Amino acid sequence: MASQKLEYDATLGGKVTLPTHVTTYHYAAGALQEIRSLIEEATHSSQRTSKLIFQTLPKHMRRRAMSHHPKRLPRKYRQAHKSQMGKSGNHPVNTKRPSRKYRRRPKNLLNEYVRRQRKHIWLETHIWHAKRFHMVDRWGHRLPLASCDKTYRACYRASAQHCLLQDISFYWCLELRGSLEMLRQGFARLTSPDCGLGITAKTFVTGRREGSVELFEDSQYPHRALQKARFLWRPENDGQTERALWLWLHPSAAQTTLEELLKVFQLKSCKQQTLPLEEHMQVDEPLEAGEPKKLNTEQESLDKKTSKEGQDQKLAKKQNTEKPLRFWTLTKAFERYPAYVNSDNTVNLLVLRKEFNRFRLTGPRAQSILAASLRPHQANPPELQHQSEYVQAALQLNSPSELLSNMVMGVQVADPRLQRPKKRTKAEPAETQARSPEDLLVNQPKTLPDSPLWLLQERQRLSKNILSTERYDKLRQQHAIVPGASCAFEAKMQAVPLLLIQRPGSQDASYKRLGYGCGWDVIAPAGYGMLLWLTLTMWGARPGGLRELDSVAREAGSEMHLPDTVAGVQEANAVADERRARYFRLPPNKRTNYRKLAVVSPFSAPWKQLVRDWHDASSTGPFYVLRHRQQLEAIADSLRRCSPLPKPLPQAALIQIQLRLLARGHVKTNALICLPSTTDYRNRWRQIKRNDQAPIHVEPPQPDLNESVRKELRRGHKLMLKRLRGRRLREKRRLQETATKRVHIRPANTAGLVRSHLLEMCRLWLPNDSSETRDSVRRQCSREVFGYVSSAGFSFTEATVCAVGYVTPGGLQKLLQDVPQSTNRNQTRQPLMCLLRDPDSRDYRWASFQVNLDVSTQCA
Amino acid sequence: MESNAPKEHGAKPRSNNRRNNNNRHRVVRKQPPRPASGRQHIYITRKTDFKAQLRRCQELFSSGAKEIFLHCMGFSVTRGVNLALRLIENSEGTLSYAINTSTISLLDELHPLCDEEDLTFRHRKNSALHIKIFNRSLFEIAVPPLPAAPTPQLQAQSQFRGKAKPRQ
Repeated sequence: MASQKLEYDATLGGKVTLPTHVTTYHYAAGALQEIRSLIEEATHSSQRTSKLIFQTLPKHMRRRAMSHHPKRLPRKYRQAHKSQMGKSGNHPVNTKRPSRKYRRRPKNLLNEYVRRQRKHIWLETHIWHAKRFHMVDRWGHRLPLASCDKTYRACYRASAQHCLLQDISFYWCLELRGSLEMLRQGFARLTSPDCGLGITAKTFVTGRREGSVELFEDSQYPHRALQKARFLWRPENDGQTERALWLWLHPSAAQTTLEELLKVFQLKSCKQQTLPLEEHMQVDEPLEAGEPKKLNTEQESLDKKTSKEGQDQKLAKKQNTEKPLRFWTLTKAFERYPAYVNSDNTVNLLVLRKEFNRFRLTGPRAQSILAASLRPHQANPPELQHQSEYVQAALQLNSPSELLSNMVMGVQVADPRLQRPKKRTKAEPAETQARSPEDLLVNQPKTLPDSPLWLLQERQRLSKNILSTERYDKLRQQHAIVPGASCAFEAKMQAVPLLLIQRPGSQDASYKRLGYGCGWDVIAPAGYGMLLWLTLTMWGARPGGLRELDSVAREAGSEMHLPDTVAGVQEANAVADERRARYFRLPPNKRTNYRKLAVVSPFSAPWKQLVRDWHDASSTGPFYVLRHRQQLEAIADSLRRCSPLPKPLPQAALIQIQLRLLARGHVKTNALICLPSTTDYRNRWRQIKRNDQAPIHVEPPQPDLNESVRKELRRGHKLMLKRLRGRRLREKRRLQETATKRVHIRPANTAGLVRSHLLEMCRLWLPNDSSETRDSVRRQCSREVFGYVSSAGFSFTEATVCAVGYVTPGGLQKLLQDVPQSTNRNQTRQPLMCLLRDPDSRDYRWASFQVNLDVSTQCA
Repeated sequence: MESNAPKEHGAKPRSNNRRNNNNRHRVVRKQPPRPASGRQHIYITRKTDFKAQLRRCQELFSSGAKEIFLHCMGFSVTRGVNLALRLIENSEGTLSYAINTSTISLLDELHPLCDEEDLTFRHRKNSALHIKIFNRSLFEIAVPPLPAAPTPQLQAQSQFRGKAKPRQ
């Protein structure tokens, strides 16, 4: 290369002389510039370039009509191109929807399902439900709301006489492990002994019964309630100090509760840990085997695929060569169950989501349905014999409520597929009972609540060895000679451990008939959801959705979510938004004029303002629902005796009451609970005498001062729009006169104007915000308001309209003062009554009520 | 309506009042066991409307039941007896009854109110009454169904009217 050569260069179009050598620093300077520009390009290109994707392609790769048809682009650019085109509004040619045949191929169908599950979690029974139910997005899940058939009454009948089946697997399960003392101390900060039994009460710790606690934020009781949680202790193993506990949390507040638990127990996530190198052997123990793990040491990142032993050996080698005090970071790329531990590894928490199926069976026939669909596995070891015998005897009783309340039974059953009838059949109750209910109550075997479901390895083994439906059908095809006959391979299918948890239903015979809403909760391992679900429905259980959770709770006289819990607040806001939107969708002449009806808050119950208005001192503290059992009992007692309420009154509290209308009328949610006046009491006797069914009092219609304002506003707005249009029209005509081509009218661009008009109109339609004015809630109408109804409807069990509402103690006090004293001593004292008014009506009606004592213990 | 309904006297149901409920427990009653189940077994409660129960029994008889059983316990014994007597009175002598008494042993749960206590049970006995009401009508003889083909004259009539009348 010493001599200069003449070379031909096509781009320059002639001969050029090239140098034989290049100076290093010149070259380096050029390279530096190049690298800089490349980095610049890489970091800022997306913002800076104004070109479209297909414009950035080199000339030789461009094709005609490339922007129109994405298939003409190289494949790697297509996605970006599509999104670019989509943003600018002109969509590229819509590719035809693939044929149904293509879409239904198992692989493609499965891909589609996986894609759709990215946004919302699906339950195992999702596809079954999606074909039959209205599905809604709630709490990060896609859940069945109600059947597409009209089944409201049928579901009530099922819950009262037959069996209602619901999938409530959306509840989160948290597993807490630690010593009893530590857990007790932690939960003492989150709960209060006033609300009933604590989490470490003796009756629950044995694992014999499932309990429920009210959770509050750390030592904030009685304010800042989180939610009601059900819990279940793992039965004691002899000699083990570490106990395990499952908490079943409602998904709406589960994240908040989890954070609170982490704070209280000082737990840290195991996802990323910095650990001294020498301890790595101990650290690996609590982590679950078989999970994909990524280890990043400080020096190098190890390959994901190397086996765990390999890593250990490598690390051990390093340990020998390097200094012992070095740290390494353990990062798990994916955690199947997010795990948390505290600093000295005495308390750990595991979030077991999608690990269990929880089915809720309500109604007395749940017994026979479970008895028909659960057959104890034949190969049960003898120590489980007692368990399965007991379960069988217990399921022969007439009703679940005859058994120990909230009892837990573990059972190992044969695969539920083997227990299906040929056609959908009603499971008949057992003719004879092997053991009397008394015997069953008193003599429980010690091992009854034991279940392998508590063990992680066991659950993994179960889900691994499950015989898929396809494989099962293939085997049946090969082995079953007579259709319907049982095969030899079926006896070898693995046993399924289940946990059955009794729910006692109504326990207050004076209010609701005993045992309404009783049933079983069945906890099944993951993977068995659909198999068990189909068997239960084949035996005649009626499937229900979220709507039935609410309706069963309302029939039982309680509520799913109290208004001061996280879930309650969320739900109330969502419902209020929806009602408001619906109200303004109606044409103006179909809208209820709440100003005329003197209702200040038509879409939601203004608890905060209600408490403020009844507070003696003018303080606007947060409200809470009274859960203190002794206080509630004292209040109920003084209501019964018509004596003044015990002092001091909990001023910021709301008391849950159960109302029932005495005669005609209907109330909806958000109805007003009002104090009757003395004339009302007088008129009541007159009405009874005359058998008069008219409402006791009718609210005089209030004038609506905004009516003329609204009319004026509307007229002005219409006129304005018309004027603007006229202006545009004139402009167009003027242009047309001089133009040679056809001129189109200018677009209106009045969206902002219309929106502001709508907002103003909405403001004029609705009453003034109750937070603005003092006493606006208490004295909004001609009778004083001292509470609101939170759920109401016709109750089939009581054959009348029933409601659950909340009142202020101050209002109750006033009610007691105003009640007329009966002159006749022998006359039985009338139960206390109040007035109810629907927000859409002017009629006040009498309703009797009683205080709900079991606010915190009642499990809806 | 008030005058027609028989007055009810009887033991007031024992309530969870303060005296037998000390502060450490909450008494929870269980649903009492049922001796038999079926359409003809009726369990008398104190909340169900008396007239509705009466009508239910009468409908059972008119739909062909030969006998029905009324089970009542404790407070509802008087109601059950009233119901049975009313049924027989209304039947103009076609119904008759037989009565059995029994004692039902019940088990209440005593739910603890503090963390240190465990759940305990309380035994209780209650009186029960089982009333069998049966049809003793002599005229109720099983009549074989008449031959299917009616006389031609009748047939013509029924055709003329367009709809066959059920024979009384």
